[in-house]
Amino acid sequence: MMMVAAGDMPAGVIQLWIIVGYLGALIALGLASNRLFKGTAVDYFVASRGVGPVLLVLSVFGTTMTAFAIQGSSGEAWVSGVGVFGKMASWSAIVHAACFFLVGVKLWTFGKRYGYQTQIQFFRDRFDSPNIGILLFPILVFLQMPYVVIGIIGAGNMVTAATSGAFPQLFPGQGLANGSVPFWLSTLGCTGVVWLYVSLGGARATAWANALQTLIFLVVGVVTFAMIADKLGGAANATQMVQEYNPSKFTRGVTDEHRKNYDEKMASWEAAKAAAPEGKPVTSVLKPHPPKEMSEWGFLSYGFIPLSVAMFPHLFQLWLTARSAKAFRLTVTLHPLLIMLIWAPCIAIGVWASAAMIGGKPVIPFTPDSPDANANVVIGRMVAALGDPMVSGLLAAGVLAAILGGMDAQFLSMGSMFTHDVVDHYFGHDALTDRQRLITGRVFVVVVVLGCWLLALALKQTRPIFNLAVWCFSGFAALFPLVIAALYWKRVTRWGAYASIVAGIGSGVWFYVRIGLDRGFSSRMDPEMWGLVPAAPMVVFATVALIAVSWLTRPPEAGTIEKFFSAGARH
Amino acid sequence: MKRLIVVLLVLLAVLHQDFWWRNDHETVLFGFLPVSMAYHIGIAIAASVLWGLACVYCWPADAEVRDDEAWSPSGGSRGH
Repeated sequence: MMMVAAGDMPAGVIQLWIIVGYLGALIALGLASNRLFKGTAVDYFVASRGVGPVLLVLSVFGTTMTAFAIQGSSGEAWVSGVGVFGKMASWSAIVHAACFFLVGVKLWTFGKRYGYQTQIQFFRDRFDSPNIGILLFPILVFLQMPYVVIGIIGAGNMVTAATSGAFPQLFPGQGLANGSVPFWLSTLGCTGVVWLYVSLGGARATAWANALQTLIFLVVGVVTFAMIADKLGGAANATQMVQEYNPSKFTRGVTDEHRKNYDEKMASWEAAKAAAPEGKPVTSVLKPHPPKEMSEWGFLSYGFIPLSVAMFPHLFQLWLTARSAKAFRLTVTLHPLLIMLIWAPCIAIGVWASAAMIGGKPVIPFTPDSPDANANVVIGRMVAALGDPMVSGLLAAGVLAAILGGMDAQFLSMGSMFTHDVVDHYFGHDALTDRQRLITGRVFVVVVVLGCWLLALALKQTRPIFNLAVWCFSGFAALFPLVIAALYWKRVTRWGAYASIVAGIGSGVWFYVRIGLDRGFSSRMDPEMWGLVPAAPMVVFATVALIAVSWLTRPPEAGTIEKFFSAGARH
Repeated sequence: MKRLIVVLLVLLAVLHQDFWWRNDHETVLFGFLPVSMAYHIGIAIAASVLWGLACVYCWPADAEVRDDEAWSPSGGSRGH
């Protein structure tokens, strides 16, 4: 057999093999999980409620973390500095664990006791409202769809970037697309693999795949951090460079000293630009970033966004797979640590990137105020500067793992919602057999996968869809008062629930339209209302509406209270 | 103990708002870690410890469901 040295391979080929290896591992997991598949709908949708604590913590973490944890966090830290860790990661560490403890465990209890497999089934019973799904189902699907579609587009773009130059004769193109696996093929491959292992093993395969993805995250984060620190002359040196050029990256505030430093560095850069040949970019001097302030109220309000995990349908689905309530303990305890382990290296890399010089040249050739600025490519460029295709391939696999890790559970949960909340409830009168539910679920997973892939092909150049992602989290957060009241407040009524949904989601739509009209739906939006992230007022409106309308309307039936709150019903 | 853990969790959320490091770009820990980020890494670790303690001391007594109490596909209506 002829061996080809890695150095002899065209650019992108090693990265492609790493990606293929990762996708192959997912298929292998799907096949392995299929050997344990019991052929029932309960096994397909919730793994027969048999997942233990270790698998639960890894799979819940893999599902919760999106590509933003690796790619977006570095880019956002490059723009806004270390404050991003506090506003996103450490808030999530506190709030996610709270949601798992207060919401996840209770929903698991009711799910096992009463056989719920979707959130809407629970809400229908809890609010004694057979048709609450008519309002909630389209909202949950609409909030989830943009994420899946953006994920598919992100996966396609990542494969394109990673395999650039691999097949110049087979796939000629311009720029990064020259020689790379084409978008339609890479997205078809990624979604096809996800569909395959979800179909083979259902929720069990999803849990296993997410566990693998969590392990990949950890390896990618640590390896990338160590190698980049080394390339920049050590972590201390990289940090000193930031203190010298962009000190405001280490603070949320902007001081006169920061402004003065910016003016001085900018003057040096302008002088270098003036001395450079006409039309040539300045490559020997770092251009400083304009200092960017993060308000304390804005920072505080970010604590509302992680409330969204309490209402993610795909997370609900994973919670139900737990073998016992006690299995949640490890998840509640370790999830904050895992968040820290993934986010801290990525944030550090993003901040270092703002002042990184390798070989006397800035690694990132633009600044956040440049017209061609693209924060999402920051970590990719830092890794590319290492000149090591193995690390580039590993990063590509890590980002793909982050994307696909959420996508598989989302496909499964949407298939479950279509099956249980639409077909079974409205067409089967909640009387479909287990076999019918299994077949329906599998068919709908195919429909959802195919529909999302086609939407990704159609919308890949449609910029406004990317901005929807921020709003999806806010939308799920706005439903938090609904679920927490359903679990802990006996007096909440059906009409209070409806009012809460309408007020929370309705205010979000109003904010979206208002901000979009002001700043353009296609612009990169950091949405703010009254200096807060929109999720904060959305949650407040939803809470006020829930409490006010519940007090004004007839209390729930005694039987409903008995079912969900009495000690007799629970023992 | 339960009350203490609840108080500590609320305190943790309050301490998250570390406005006292707001303008400090000079203090670094271990030679490379900005103090504000180090602090928030500490917050995440403290969250893990406190939620771990909550799992021990505040765990809901009625969370577990025995298999014979659980709904099964062949066991009749689930009531929704």
